[in-house]
Parts: sequence; C-alpha cells; structure tokens
Amino acid sequence: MTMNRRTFLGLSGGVAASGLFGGLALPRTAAALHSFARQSSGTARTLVVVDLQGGNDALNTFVPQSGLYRDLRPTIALPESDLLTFAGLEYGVHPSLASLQSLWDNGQLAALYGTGLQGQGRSHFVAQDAWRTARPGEPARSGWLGRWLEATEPDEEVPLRAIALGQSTLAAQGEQGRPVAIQSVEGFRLNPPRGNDDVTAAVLAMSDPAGRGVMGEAMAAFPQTVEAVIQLQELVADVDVSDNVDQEIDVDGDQALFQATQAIIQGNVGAQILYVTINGFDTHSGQASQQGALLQLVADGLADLFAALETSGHAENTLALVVSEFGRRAAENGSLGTDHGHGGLSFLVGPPVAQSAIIGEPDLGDLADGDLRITIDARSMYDHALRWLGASDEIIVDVLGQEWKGLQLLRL
Amino acid sequence: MEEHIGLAWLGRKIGWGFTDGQLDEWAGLGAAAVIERLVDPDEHGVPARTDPFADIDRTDEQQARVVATGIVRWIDAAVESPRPLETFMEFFWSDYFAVSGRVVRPRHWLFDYMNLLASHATGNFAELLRAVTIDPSMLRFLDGGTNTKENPNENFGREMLELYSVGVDNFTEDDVKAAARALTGWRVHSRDGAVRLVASRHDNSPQTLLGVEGVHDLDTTMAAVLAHPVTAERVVHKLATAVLGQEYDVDLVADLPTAFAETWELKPVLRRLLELGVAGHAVPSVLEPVAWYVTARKLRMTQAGREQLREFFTLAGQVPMQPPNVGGFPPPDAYLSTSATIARFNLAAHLADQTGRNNSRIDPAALTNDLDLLAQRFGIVDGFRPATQQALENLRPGVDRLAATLASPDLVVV
Repeated sequence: MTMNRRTFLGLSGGVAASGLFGGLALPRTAAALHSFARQSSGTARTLVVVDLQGGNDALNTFVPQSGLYRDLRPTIALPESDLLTFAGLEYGVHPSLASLQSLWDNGQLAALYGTGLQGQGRSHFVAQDAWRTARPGEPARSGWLGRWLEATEPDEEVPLRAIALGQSTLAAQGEQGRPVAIQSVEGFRLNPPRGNDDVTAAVLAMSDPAGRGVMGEAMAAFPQTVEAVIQLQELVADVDVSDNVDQEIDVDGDQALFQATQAIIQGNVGAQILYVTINGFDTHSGQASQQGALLQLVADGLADLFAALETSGHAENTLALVVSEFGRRAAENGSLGTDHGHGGLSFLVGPPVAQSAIIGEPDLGDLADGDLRITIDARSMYDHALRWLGASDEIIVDVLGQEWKGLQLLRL
Repeated sequence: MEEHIGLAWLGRKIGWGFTDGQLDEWAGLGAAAVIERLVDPDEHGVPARTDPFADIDRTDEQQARVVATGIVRWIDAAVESPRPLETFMEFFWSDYFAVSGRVVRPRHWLFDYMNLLASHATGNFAELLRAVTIDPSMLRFLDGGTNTKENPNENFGREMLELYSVGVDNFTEDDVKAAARALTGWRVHSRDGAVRLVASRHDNSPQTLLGVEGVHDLDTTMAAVLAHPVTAERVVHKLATAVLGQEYDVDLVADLPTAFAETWELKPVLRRLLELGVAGHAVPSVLEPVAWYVTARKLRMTQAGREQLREFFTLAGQVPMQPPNVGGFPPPDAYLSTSATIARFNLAAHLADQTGRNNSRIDPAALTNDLDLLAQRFGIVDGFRPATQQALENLRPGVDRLAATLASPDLVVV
C-alpha cells in the first residue's frame, strides 16, 4: 500500500491548522512546495559527497607509471593491457572506470593523490572520524558539513537541506541536528493501516517540541520524518531516474542511492548536501573482483548522474567530492589484497571542476612505513568545496578551525 | 514500587519486552531471584536454547533466501527465548565480534557463528575470544584463513587489537604485524568449514606483542592480549554501555575490570550490571530495531513475513547477521534517523493491520481498549506520556490504536 499524496498533504494542512504540531513552519500545500522548488531551482548549489567506506586502494584506481608499482604488487597489479588511457593522463585507469571517460574528456574530473589528515592512523574508525569531523584527534560530535549547515541557517526551514543516502553520517551531523537519512525514494513513504492518516496524525501528536534528552530526540524524529516524506514525495515522485542497474555489480542495491541523488537534485527539494556512503572497499583479500565491482558502481553512478543533470540543467550547480578514509598499503599482502594504508585518493567531479587533472603524484620510492604519504590535507578540499558552496572566510574558520587555501581546481 | 520499576526496565531493556503476565510473575519472584534466573538459568532448571537454524535447508542455491529465513528463525527464537539474557548477549557479541553475511561464503556459516556466540554468551570471555579467532566465518571475514608465513595478512590482527581487546591508542603498527604473524597458518576447508593449523603456513618465530615477548601462536597471542590491563576495562565498558546506556556513570563499575581480568567470567559482571540497572542506574537510550521488533512480537501479534522483515531491518539500519562493517552496528542514536523512523512506523502499521485481518490469536480492539493495561503490557509502568495517552485516546481501540502505540516514541526509549 502506498501513500496517497493528496490525502497526505490534506492531513498535513489539517494537522497544522489544528495546532497538533506547533512550532514548525511548514510549506503546507502542493502549490507552496512547487513555488519553493522553482525558487531554489537553478540557483542553489548542491555538494554530493560519495564516501568509499573501508579505504579504497588508490594505486589500483589510477595506476602510476612507476616500475615500482609492479614490483610492489606482483600478483594484483593491473595488467598493462587492461588499463584504460584517458587523453593527456599519465596514469593508467582501472578498467571499471570506463564511464568516467566522458567526464574526463569534458574537463570535469580532478583527482587528488595523497589525501588525508595527519595523525589519522590506520584504523578505519579513527580515520573516518578524522575525515568526517575534520578535527583529528579530538572527540568531536559534529561533522564538517553539519557545522557548515548550522553556521549558515537559511531563513526558512528546509527539512531536506542535508540528506544522507545509505546510512547516516557524522560528517553531516551538527551540534543539534542530524541529516535526513534515505535508502531509496521508493521506500521513503509512510504507510499507515489502510491508508488512514489519522494514525499518522496521532503519532505526530505524541511529539512535544519541548522534550529533552533521548526522549526529546525520539519525539522529534517523527515530525522530522513526516516533513521530509511530504517534501520528498511531492517534489521527487514524478522524476524519472536512470535505471541502469547491473545486479551482478550492485549486490547491495547501492545503485538506488545514486538514483535517489539524481531525483532529489532534479526535484529541487532544497538539498545542499547529499552524502552517499558505499561500503565494501576494505579489500584485504580478493581485491580485484570486489574493487572492480565497486568502482564500476561508483563510476557508472556518477556518470549517469551527471548525464541526467546535464539534460535537466542542474549539472552546473552540482559538484561531487569522492573520498575514502585511507589508501591501502603500497605492497600487496598474500591474500590477493592490500592492508590498511595512509595517503589516499579523492576526486572532484562535475562542471564546477576547472579542468581535468590529477595532482599530488605519489612517490613509490618514498613511502611512510610502506604507505603513500599524506601530502594533501583533506581540509583543503573541504575549504575548496565550502567556498564553492558560498562559504565566507569567517565561516571557513568557524567550520574548519582555520583557512585551508591552496587548491585551485574549481571554478568558484 | 521501585523494584517494580526496576523489573520493568529489566524486561524492556534486557528481555526485549514482556509476554503476557510475565511482569507480574517477576514481581512475585522479586528482583534478586529474577536476576539469578537470568544470569544462571542452568541453576534454576530453565530449558536450554535450541538451535534456531536447525531445520533450514542450507542447500538452497538462493543463499540470500537462506539468510533471510535464518533471520526470521532467529527472531522467532528470540521472541520465545527461555533465556532472554543469553539472547541479549548473543546479539551483543554478534555486534562486538561483527561478521557480515555480505562477505562470508557460504552465508549459512553465519548460523554456526551465531550458535557459537550463543554457546559462550554469558560464559568466559577468554574462551569466547579464542573460539572466535579460529571460527571459520571469522577466518573468512577478516582473512585469517589466508594469513600465512609467506604473506601475512593484517586484517584480523589489527581488528583484534583495536576492536576486541586493547583499543586504538594502546597498540602500535608493530603490534599489528606481530599479532598477524603469530596467527598465521589457520586454514578453513571451504566445503565443510573445518579449521586446522597448517604448520608449513605458520610463522612460529617469536614476536613481541604488546610488550610480551615470545608470542608465536594462538595461545600466546591470547595470553598477551588478555594480560594487557586495558582489555578488561574495554570489555566491561562495552558491556556497561549495552546494559546501562551510553552515558552511564563509570564510577559505578570502576572496580569491575580488575576482578573480571582474573577469571574472564562474564556472569559476575552481568549480574552486577543488571543489579545496577534494576536499582535505577540505567540511562535512557534508544531501543535498537531488533529489540523493538521482538518487543512488539511478544504481544502475540501476526508476524512479519520474510521479505517484510528484511526490508524493515534494512531500512532501519540493523540487519541481524549483516552488520555494515567490521565495527558492528551503529550506536543506538542512529535508530532515530528518518529511515529507521519510517521503518518502524510502516512495520507497526503492517503488523497491526495483519493482526486485525487474520485469524490472529489476539484481537486488536481488546488489546488496546484499556490504555493503562496496554502500557503495563509493555512494561511502561507509569503509563504512556500524557501526549501519547491523549493521541491514543483520540483513536478508537483496534488496529489504528495498536499501530500508533507500536510507533510511539514511548516504545523506542528505554
């Protein structure tokens, strides 16, 4: 049973009018929502972060020409004959990244070698926290995007301003709020018994905005959810998404996350931050097939996304930042895989990229305990991306502790 | 009355809800006796756990279906569990020693893994750690089975130090390498999951692990890890967090690690933690999706089907036997996300609706007619919060009221 959109919006008006759900300004009608969408269309910029959780192997993504690469990886080095060549690029490209070719050719793909935060160590969790909080070594409870969101409160409450796709993320968590979490647009519906919205209204009425502590948070969850569901379904329900799923590749159903990303941007729901988490990059063994499938999923997802956004006129205002908590050990282990490393690989993708390039060439002759060094602080990418979103010097300092200027990869 | 509140907490938090009349039965026994029965069921003639996966056809080529069936059976067993603390701890260990069905092949090995965790659930931590280290699912998941003298693989060694014992600030990269070397040579037979140590693949040279010299095999690795004082502290902290909530008062358990490290017996620690909780020292926290669903099921409602349940756990972010990564499931706060909130609301609606339609053992109208009794049934002894009470009164007894009750914030926080 799916929600009837009209009755649901009717309910929302009723709930607001009866004062059951005070304290939140809601654009209640379809007309108001569409007017809101028109206003935000074409002007708002959206940052899509794709988090390759587990530590993507940089050296088998963009393969350096150094002969040391094949010495370090006698069995898992990608065969020369399999590597793709992108025009003007002195690296071999993993064959699963074929769909990124057009983005590269259009000058919309910049890759950064050696990204990380000093002191992030080789633990997934410490490194992930460092990347997400941008405060390495501190027990921070908020993420860099969450702090940016709270430092730039819009006049009007926009419930879908920050959306986590797949699983929630500390990166977009503020001191107070957390991002909306969405698994798929299709599943993002409330289905009360027999479509009876009285049940939805009753659960809404259980919330007390004055609630504190864990119960206060639990009470706040349903209103936030209802709000997000109304907006998402109203604005996104009619968007056609590319349906180019390869079940062999997409074992976890992650393609739906890219489809949702596209629908959310094209629906003009006011999302400024979309955070997509893809699991499975911790390739200690059997790396070739696992990493290949995951890279293809991400490359196809991004290529399809930007192709669709190009058609709808949203691409100019969309930037993707692809990150991973660390790169992997330069030398292979004995399990046809690689252990945890240090310096990693990040990408910036989309029309805001000034020109295609790879910066920060890795030096395989100068490793740190067998790993690529960290030569580009992740916060310099964050600084760059936040400025693209419109952040002032003051806000940058607020969010990142200091300015981290230096990168010139984007058209700001 | 205070003891009644304590027992209600115990049933909601550790027991994952009450069957009909159970809270009254507990009140008759008294808190001390109830805790004893939970901690030491063997001493009180409580029936043993039965293998929830026993009659599943593991030869089915559709392994995703096999696992989905396994989840249904495991939940069924949790609902009927005669030993709720052991069930709670079995699930706790499946999070602590996270192994994911996304990686392990064949996936049904996860059933054996859950049974292993269950057999040690409230037993001895040292024995559990040793058993997990050479379990076929774990050897697959963290690559212990391909960790060899010629080519060490650090995956298990690192996570054992970081997640299972001393924690992130208490070991070096050299310790990771030492642990990996000492644990080389274990091999899993891919057909039947038999595990053996292959001498030619094992590096028997002495390593220094966490300051202990001469570490060269499984037993000496375990000894080194357990000799480190932080190991007991971290295990106690994880247990206390699970039982008492994330912001529990650490002073209350300050003396536990020392005693724990002498025997590694879990029962004394658990007994103490349950006593503290019953005495009112637990901090409110979010009930995880598995616990929430088992709580709902104890009303004897119609149960969710295999796919329904899979979708619920996926949206809610907690699929049993499929933690998202080696760190296990996210902390409880994560289950207040929009996605998890939708999952609970929709499953509450579905369960109530199906219960109203089918030849259910219960009648939703009768169950929800008296709201005070309904709250008692969940162990909410003070009754629902006023806003919840009011909202429920506005719905007629029956399917709608049952759905709204199950979706209420009152049920999610314990």
